[in-house]
This record gives sequence, C-alpha cells and structure tokens, in this order.
Amino acid sequence: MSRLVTGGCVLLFVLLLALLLSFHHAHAVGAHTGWSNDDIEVLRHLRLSNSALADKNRGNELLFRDDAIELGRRLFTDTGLSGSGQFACASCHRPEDGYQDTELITYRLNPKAAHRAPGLLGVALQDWFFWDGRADSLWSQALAVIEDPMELASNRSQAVRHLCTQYEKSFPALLRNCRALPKANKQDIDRLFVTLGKSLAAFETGLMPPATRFDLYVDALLAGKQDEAASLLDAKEVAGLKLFLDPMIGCINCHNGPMFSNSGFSAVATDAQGYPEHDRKRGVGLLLDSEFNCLKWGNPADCPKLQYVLTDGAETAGAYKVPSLRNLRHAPSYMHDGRYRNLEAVIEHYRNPATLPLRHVDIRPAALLPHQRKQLLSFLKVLGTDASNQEK
Amino acid sequence: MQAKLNRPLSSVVALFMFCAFCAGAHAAPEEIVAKFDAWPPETVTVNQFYECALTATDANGVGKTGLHLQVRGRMPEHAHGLPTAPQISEEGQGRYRIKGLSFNMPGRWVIDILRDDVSVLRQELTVRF
Ligand code: HEC
Ligand code: HEC
Repeated sequence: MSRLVTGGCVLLFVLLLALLLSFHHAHAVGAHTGWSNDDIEVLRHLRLSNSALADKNRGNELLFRDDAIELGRRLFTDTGLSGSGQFACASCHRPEDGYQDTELITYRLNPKAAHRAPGLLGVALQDWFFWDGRADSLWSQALAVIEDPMELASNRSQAVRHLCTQYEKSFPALLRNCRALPKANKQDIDRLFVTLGKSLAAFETGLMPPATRFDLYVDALLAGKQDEAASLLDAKEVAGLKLFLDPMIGCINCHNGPMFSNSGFSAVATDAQGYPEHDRKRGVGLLLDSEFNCLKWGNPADCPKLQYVLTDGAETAGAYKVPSLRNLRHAPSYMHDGRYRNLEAVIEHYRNPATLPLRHVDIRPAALLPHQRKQLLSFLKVLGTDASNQEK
Repeated sequence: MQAKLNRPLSSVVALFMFCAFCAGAHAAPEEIVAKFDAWPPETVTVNQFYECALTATDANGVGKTGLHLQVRGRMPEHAHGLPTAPQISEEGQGRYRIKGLSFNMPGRWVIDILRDDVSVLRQELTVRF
C-alpha cells in the first residue's frame, strides 16, 4: 500500500516536473524553432529598420524637406549634370534594377575603374561612402561624383549654373542664392553646390530596400507565430541562416546590423591584382583632404566618426568597406572590383581565400561542406527578395 | 704623495657614481598604478562611441601627471585591432580621459593602456549587438 503511495508520488512529481519544463520552454520565443534567445536577439538586430537615419545624416538640414527630395529626384536623372551632357546618376545606378550598374556604364567610361558601382538601396544608413570610404556624407559623395573626371566629369560652376537655370523657378525657397549667381564669388558657388548635393542626398535617403521574407520571418518569430515563420523560410534557407550566424563561419562578425554591414572596413583577401591599391588606407587620406568632409564643412560635434578615424595600420591596408547584403538582387558582379559574377564564387572565396604572404587579412577559411554552401547561398538569395511581391 | 694616490681613487669613485647614475636612468621607469574609473559599463554594444577615464598614481597614491599614454585594443580571437583611433587627454592630478573608443564586432576585446609601449592597465570586455 505504502509502496503504491510512494510510486504515485514519484509519478506525480515527474509529471509536475515535465509540466514545469514545458512551461519554461514555451516562454522562450525560439523554443519550437530551434533558436536560442541569444539568436533571437541577433535576428532582431538584423531586421530591416530605418530608425538610425536621422542620426546618420545630422549634417544635412534638407534631409526631410519635400522640395529638396523632389529636386534631388529630378537631378538624379538629369544628364545636364555631366560634362558631356550624356550621363546622369541614373545611368550607372538604374532605378529599375535596385540602382545597380546593370549596363556596366562605369566600365564603358573607364575600363580601368578600380571600383564597381554599388546599388543604392539603404545607402543613407551607411557611415562611409565609396568602397574606400573617402566620403563621410551622402551629400559630399554626390559632389565628388560630379567633379570626378571618370564619372560625371563636370565642375561646380557649370553644375551650379545648370542648377539655377533649370530649377530656380520651381524651387525658389531652396535656390534663393541663385540670385547672386551673375556675380557670384567662390563661396556663393560652393554654397549652391552643397545645396545640390544635399538635395540629391535627401532623395537618396528615401531609397530603402524592401522588407524581405527574412524580415517577415523575424517578425513572425518575435510575435511567437511559429507556423507563420515556418511558411516564410524553408528548411534549407533556415539552415543557411544558421550558418550565416555561426561564429565559426564568421559572416555575422562583419555583415551585421539592419543592412548586414557593421559600417567598418576589413581586409578579406581581395587585394588589387597588378594595379595600385584603392583601399581604405588610400581612401582615408582622400577623406581627410576633402574640402567637404564633416570637420571642414560641418559642426565638429557631429563628426565623432571623422574625429577618431583610423588613419593607418594593418586595419586599413587592403581593407574595403563591408558592403550591405541587401543589395545583391540585381548586382551584375560582386566585391569592390566586381571580380566575381555570382554568389557561388563569393562563397567559394570565403571557403578558400587566396592570401598573400605577410599580408594581414581579417578572415579565416570558412569550413563549409558542399551542401552547406548551397544552404548559405539560398539564404543570401532571400536577402534579395521583396516580400510585398508575393514571391517565394 | 697622498694626494697623488687619491687622484686615481677619486676618479674611480667618480666613475662608479657616474655608472650608477647611468644605470639609474636606464632602470625600469617608476612603477605606476593605473585604474579605470567605473568602466566598462555593464553592457557594451557594437558601433557606439565610448568614453572613459583612468587615474594613474605612483606607489604612494600620488597622481602622476605628464604621462604619455596610448590605447590599444584587439580581439584575441581575430587578427585585428580597434576600428577607431581613440585619443587620450590629461585632466590633471593623474586623471586621463579617453575618447573615441568604439567596437565594430561582437565578442571578446582586450584593451591595453600603454606607456612607452608597455601595458600599464589591461581590461577585458565582451561586446554585444
Ligand atoms: C559613370 C558611372 C556613375 C555615375 C554617372 C554615377 N555613379 Fe555613383 N558610383 C559609381 C561608382 C563606380 C561608384 C563606386 C566608386 C568607388 O567606390 O570608388 C559609385 C558610388 C556611389 C555611391 C556610394 C555608394 C556606397 O555604397 O558607398 C553613391 C551614393 C552614388 N554613387 C551616388 C551617385 C549619384 C548621386 C550620382 C549622380 C550625381 C552618381 N552616383 C553618378 C558610378 C557612377
Ligand atoms: C572580416 C569581415 C568579413 C567577414 C567575416 C565576411 N565578410 Fe563578406 N565582405 C566583407 C568585405 C570587406 C567585403 C568587400 C570586399 C571587397 O569589396 O573587396 C565583403 C563582401 C561580401 C559580398 C559581396 C557583396 C557585394 O555587394 O559585392 C558578399 C556576398 C559577402 N561578403 C558575403 C559574406 C558571407 C556569406 C560571409 C561568411 C561566409 C562573409 N561575407 C564574411 C567583409 C566580411
């Protein structure tokens, strides 16, 4: 009899314990999906968000002005900004292709171009512009393009004259200073030139990447809707995402944050082959010399990134800006010099990076089996999807 | 005679003293004790700027001014250092302020405060997203 009681007690205890444990698990968001709470935090951090926009663009007072956005939109497709009158920003950043240079105009103008043109979705969320980060604001980046002989090949007084004759009537509030133009001095020209850049930047700030199936997946997980999550990413894509987050593989170390970039510069064994390096080491020198950098043309309190910028050392040699992975969809090629034509080749690069002797690199070979490479690839492709298109 | 004998003796003594002086100049610099003032905070996250202060004193607890200090940070598991170039400024009485510290990768970081390339203070911290 007493044995029966003890047995019953033990049974009850085990049942209670099981109940407790199952409760405990149900409280962890990722319990049924195989995600730990730490993973969920990382996923939340990767969810598309534009909350950092205003903070990243403190030097641009025109950022959210409708007239500046509209002016920038028109300037973006205006061939009058180029020296030859033949090219516009949109020639190399095609709006219908995620603002990628799908027709390779960059190389048509300059077959030896050191850098390929990146897509511009989410560009305003970056800290640095160009592959070598030689601009520290979106507006100063645009001004550099206009005066670069290999790009729009114009100059500021020509650009400003065009701005005033074409747009002063439609944008009187923005372009008030055009009245000074007939006898403008350098300072007047520079000021109008900056307004031009800030308007282009105001337009570009609206170029956000679409929410992808990955973002909806994260939303579903955070809302505790496991079934919905499971319908958004298939098993292969989830396996690819797990590899992406795996510290031993390392992608997440550099490709993190809402744009899948840590805003830094790294050497990933993509050194220039046979021509002078156009890396961060060179770029930071150009940045410090730029007359439009944050410290020279802004409020120094807004410039901590420039004030404490790393100017030398192993971290800058052979290093390029960590690119966003939300711009892969229409990319005609990959890496700063467009050396790879497809993502398979990029993954192969990380599996077996060709390192030069005595050269500092920030990566180690990623141990990826053939089926894992396919999984990782399928996840990278998810980052190019547009969830509002109902595509899978 | 005595004076004659004394001359080499005194030069030996002088030489000895001179050498002792040289040795003194070459000996390790005086020991300093460096401490961070309430740093690091409980959570350190990626891509934020951090500022901190440290106090450097001699063995008797007297603040050491005029030290040439440098900051070095690295991730032991990776082959790279800090993504920024922090600056140290002196605030008097042995207090030094460090500005411009930032970390762009989650994981374990080691911060060293160097005096003439020798670490006088080391701090480990874990950076999170
Ligand atoms: C001839 C082709 C061409 C034209 C025209 C052109 N770009 Fe670009 N763009 C590029 C290339 C190439 C790069 C990368 C250059 C580098 O990193 O050195 C680039 C980089 C950029 C970037 C930096 C993106 C990043 O992720 O760092 C922005 C922003 C940009 N262009 C905007 C513009 C705007 C605005 C215009 C018009 C004023 C314009 N571009 C005109 C080819 C072009
Ligand atoms: C140490 C930092 C670092 C790590 C780790 C890293 N990347 Fe990168 N990634 C970069 C940098 C820097 C570039 C640009 C290199 C260049 O242009 O030469 C890049 C470029 C890329 C590109 C090309 C994007 C484009 O627009 O051209 C892809 C795709 C990519 N990485 C995916 C990955 C994947 C997948 C992993 C993990 C296997 C990974 N990365 C690991 C820093 C890193």
